[in-house]
Amino acid sequence: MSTPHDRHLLVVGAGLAGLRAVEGARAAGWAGRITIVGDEPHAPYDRPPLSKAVLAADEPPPVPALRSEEVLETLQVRHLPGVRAEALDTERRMVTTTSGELGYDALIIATGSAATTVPELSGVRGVHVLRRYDDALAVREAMARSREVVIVGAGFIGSEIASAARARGIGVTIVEASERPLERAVGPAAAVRLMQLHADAGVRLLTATTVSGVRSTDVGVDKVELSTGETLAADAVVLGIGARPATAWLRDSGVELDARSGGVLCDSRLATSAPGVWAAGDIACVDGVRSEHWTAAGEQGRVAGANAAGADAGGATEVFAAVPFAWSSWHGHRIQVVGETTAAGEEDHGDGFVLYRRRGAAVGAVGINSPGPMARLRRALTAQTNP
Amino acid sequence: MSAIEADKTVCEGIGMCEAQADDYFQVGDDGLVEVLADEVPDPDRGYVKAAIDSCPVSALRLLG
Repeated sequence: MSTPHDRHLLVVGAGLAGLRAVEGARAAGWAGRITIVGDEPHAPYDRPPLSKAVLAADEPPPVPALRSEEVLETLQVRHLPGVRAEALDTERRMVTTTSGELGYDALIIATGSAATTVPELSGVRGVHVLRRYDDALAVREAMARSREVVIVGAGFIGSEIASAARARGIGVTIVEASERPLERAVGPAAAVRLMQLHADAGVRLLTATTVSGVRSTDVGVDKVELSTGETLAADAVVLGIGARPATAWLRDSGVELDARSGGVLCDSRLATSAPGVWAAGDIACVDGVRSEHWTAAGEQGRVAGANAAGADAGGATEVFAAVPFAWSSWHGHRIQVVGETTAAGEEDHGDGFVLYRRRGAAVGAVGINSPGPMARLRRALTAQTNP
Repeated sequence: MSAIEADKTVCEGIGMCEAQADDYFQVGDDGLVEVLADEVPDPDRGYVKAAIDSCPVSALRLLG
C-alpha cells in the first residue's frame, strides 16, 4: 500500500528518531514528499559517540553522521538544516519555522530534549553542557586544556564524561545533589556497584552536594564553590543534570503535553491527541512513560513513520513495545541496563549482574561486564513482550 | 560480493544489526555480535549495509 505522490510528510527534529521515522515511512510505502527539519547546521547525526568517542579524540572529529549522503539520497528526503520549529497549527496543518511556514499531511514530532542548565551558571565561561555535537566539541577542547574538572551530576552522562576525563589523565570530582546517585535509574545495590567503578578509577564523588558558585577567569573556570563550604580548583565544569523535552513550541497547538514532564502524550501507536500527528524519541510520553534511550528513540521513530504512512493509506498500524535497553561505558567497563530496574526485588549476584524481580519473575537487570547474561535476559523479556 | 568484518571488542550487543538482517547477524549467548555469513552477495548488499550503518558503536564494516 502506498500514499499518493502529492502527500507531504514533515518530520520535525533531525536526530535518530526523526531519521528512523523517515526510514520507517519509506519502508511502509510512503510515496509522497518527505521533509526533515533540524535546528542544528549538521546532517542527522548520532548522539552516543558525543560523550564517548568525540571526547576521546585527539583532534576535533567529524560529525558522527547517522547515514551517508548516498543513503539519504535513496530515501528521497529533503533535509532543512538550521531551521527551528516555532509553532504548530494542527487545524491548518502548518508548522511555523524560522524559515517560514511548512504545511503537512502527516507530521512527526521528534524534537528531542534540551540539556537542563542551572540559571546562575548559564553563560559563565568554562561551564558546559553536553547534548549536541557543538557542545561535545567544546567539552573536548576544554578537556584538552584542563588538569582538573568538576562534573555536576552522577548519572549516565556525567559518568561518561568523568570516564573520558580520567582517560585523559584529568583529575575529576563529581558533585551530585542526591544522597544516592542513580536512584531514579537503578536500585541501590546496582548504584553502589556502579559508583565503585568511579572510586576505583580515582574519581572523587561528593553526594548530597551542589555547586553554589563558579569563579571564572578570561580563559575558563578557576574555582568552584560547593554547598558544603568547600572550594575546588577546576579548569572546567560540565553539567550532566538531565534534559527536558523540547516542546515549548507546541504550547497552544492542540497537541496535548504531559503536565509533569512536558513530553508529548501519545498512545502505544505513537499517535498524539491531534489528527495526523505522531511523536517519537525523547519527547514521546508513551502511555505515560518517556524512555529517553537510544534504542527506544530509534524504534519509536520507525513505528511513528510506519504508522504515519499506514494511516494515510488506510492501512494497518504498528505498536511500540520494545524492552528498555541502554548501554554505557565507564572507565573501560561495559555497562548495560535492561527492562525494569527500579522494582522492589533487587538481587545482587555479585559477578557484575544485578537482577530485578516482580512477583518472582525477572523483569530487568543491570550488568557490569556481563553481556552474556544481559543478552539472554533481554531476549527472554522481548519474547514475553511480543508473544 | 562483499565481506563483513565485526569488532567484538566494541560491540555492545545492542542488536540493531540482527533486527535488520538476521540472516547475517545474531547477538550470541555471550551477548556480542556473531556474523552468520561472512560473504554478502550483491543482491543483499543494500540491506546488509543499512544494518551495518545503523550500529551506534561502529562495530561493523563492509569490505569490498
